[in-house]
Amino acid sequence: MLMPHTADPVRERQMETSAAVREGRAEPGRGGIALRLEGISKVYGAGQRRVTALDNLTLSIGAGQLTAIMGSSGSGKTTLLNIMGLLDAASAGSYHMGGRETARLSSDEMAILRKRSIGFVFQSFNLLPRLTALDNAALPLIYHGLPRRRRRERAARLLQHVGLADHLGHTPAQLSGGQCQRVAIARALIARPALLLADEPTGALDSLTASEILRQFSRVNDEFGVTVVIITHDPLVADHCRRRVTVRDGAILADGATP
Amino acid sequence: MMFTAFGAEHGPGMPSHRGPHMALAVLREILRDSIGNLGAGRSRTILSVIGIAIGTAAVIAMLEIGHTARQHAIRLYEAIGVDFVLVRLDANRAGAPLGFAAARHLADAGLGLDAVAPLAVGHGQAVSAGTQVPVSLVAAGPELFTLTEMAAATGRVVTERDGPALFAVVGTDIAGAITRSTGRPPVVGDHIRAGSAVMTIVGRLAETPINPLIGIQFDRAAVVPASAARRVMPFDGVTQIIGRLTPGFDSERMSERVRAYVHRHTRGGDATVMVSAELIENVEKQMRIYQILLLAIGSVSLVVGGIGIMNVMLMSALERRAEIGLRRAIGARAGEIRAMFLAESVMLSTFGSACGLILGMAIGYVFARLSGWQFVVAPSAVPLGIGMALVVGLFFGSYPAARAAAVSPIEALRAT
Ligand SMILES: Nc1ncnc2c1ncn2[C@@H]1O[C@H](COP(=O)(O)OP(=O)(O)OP(=O)(O)O)[C@@H](O)[C@H]1O
Ligand SMILES: [Mg+2]
Repeated sequence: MLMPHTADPVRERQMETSAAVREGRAEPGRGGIALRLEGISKVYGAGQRRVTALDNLTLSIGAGQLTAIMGSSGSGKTTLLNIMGLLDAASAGSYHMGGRETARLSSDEMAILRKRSIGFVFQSFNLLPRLTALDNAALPLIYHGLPRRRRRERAARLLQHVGLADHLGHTPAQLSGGQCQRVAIARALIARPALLLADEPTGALDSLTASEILRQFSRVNDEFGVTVVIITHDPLVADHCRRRVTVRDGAILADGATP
Repeated sequence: MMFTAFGAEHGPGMPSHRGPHMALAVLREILRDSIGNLGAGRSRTILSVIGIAIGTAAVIAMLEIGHTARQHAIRLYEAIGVDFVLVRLDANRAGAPLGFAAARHLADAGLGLDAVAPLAVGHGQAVSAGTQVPVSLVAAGPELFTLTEMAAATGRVVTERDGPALFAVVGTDIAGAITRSTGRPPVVGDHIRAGSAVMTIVGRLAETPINPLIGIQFDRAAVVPASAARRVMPFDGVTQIIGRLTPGFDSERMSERVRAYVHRHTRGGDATVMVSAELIENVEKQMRIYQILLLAIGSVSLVVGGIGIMNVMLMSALERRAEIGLRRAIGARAGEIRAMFLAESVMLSTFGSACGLILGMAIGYVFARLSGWQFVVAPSAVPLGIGMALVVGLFFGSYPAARAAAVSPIEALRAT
């Protein structure tokens, strides 16, 4: 199906998207991406079961910032992160990512943006148990069409830098929690994102391991200027971040530099 | 310390030029990845694969057996031609036997038969030099040898000039039996006895394949002159006539006329008339029925196997919700999740079909060997096997794949 590019509106839109993303973010190592959320609301369910998870929330995050998001359970942190990460669309409001409005993007366009620009780290690591550390870290590159040998080369280099050079062939079951999370960080970084989003990345780890993981995030932020947003309950974790945003009932309660 | 792993390659470092090329590369990697996903083999996966294997095996075995049998039939009939006619006279105690002279006249009576060879066939035991073998005694004129292109390997065949003399030309198996018992092949002038008749061997027939229409094993026969028929047979007259249909003559009409002729000359006797072309048609018709039957069995097994695959893939889509969510998060589009699941179901069905293809071929081979036929690989077997695998995999995989693709990434991520 080789069509002239101009005759394919979908492809045109995709090309526009990627062009915007390319402009909006510098190469990894030259900076991250700026986020601007304005009047964002997110409503789940309807009628009696209607839940307002985010309520007219406005938040701007500069390119290359390292931001912690705190707040009690159910305050809407994960919902906010999902919207920032283009995993979910807001019910109302506008979200600019690197200068581009994302509200009217199709699901496929959001997937392409996630693939090219966003890395995720989760509390429960979300590694595939049947894959080795190497293949877990390399997984995203499948969707970039990279052949396995090159995927593994890049994953190996990245795993080496998170200190797992000796564990490339281990499956998640053979790794400790901290090691698993480092594999997940490598996976999040492998496609050289401009934005790294982490939802309670240290929630399942002891404090020593947690600070180890946090150092990884700081490094990524320092050395490449990748924009990093970390959700956490742990004030010690938040202390690592230059900016701390507190969410309550779906709105910003406090926002400021870490004391 | 520099994070060199991250910045080592400049630019995006991956095929960033979009377009069909890029999409193909992604699809290729998704398909390769799916192969790895199948490595997590569980018992129900194996069961569903067995279902597909059995279905494919049934269809392929059916195809192979049908094909081999048809090739066998065609080869046989190629040897005798489609215009071969057999007139078998029914037992007729009340009437008169059909004489050789009257039977020979069939060819000149303009009834639709060109050449004819009347035969009187009886069965008995041949005794020679102390051995005893079952033998078909055939009394025939020289037309038999021209019509069937049979010839003597040594000595000569019997002719009209032999008159009622008890001369016999024997088949190779009879000659072989004599050789085994006496230690030397029979020579012209040796004697062979059947019942009370003692015949003098004048020759040995060349090896002759069984003519499916005549049904006489000439390798185990002794052919005597037509005029000697009444000296070796317990009955009188012709038992069957072989002939060739006049070109362009309608076989039905010929059959009717021949039967009327027999009726007239035997005072009420009847005959069964068979033409090789009709027999070939019958064989093919039977093969078709047989094939439809096996095709039905195969289809049912395939559907059962397909439902098994659908079940496996639905379970897999459920169990791998977290994985689907993760893949969506790292940038897989819904269509790419669908492609992954479709690829997995097609691989399952292809694996099953490949096993079934081998099994079906093996069944066909064993069947052919047991039937004494030559095994021929049906040209459509492999394409059919591949086609079935694709159709079953795509058809029964599409629903689970659609379900997997429809999983919302946030719901799936929440599942962990
Ligand atoms: N898919 C959903 N359907 C209905 N309600 C939802 C859904 N997702 C979240 N919610 C609700 O939205 C609110 C915010 O949820 P969210 O997961 O964002 O909280 P959180 O701050 O991440 O909490 P925690 O610290 O426990 O992870 C909660 O009341 C939750 O019940
Ligand atoms: Mg949460």
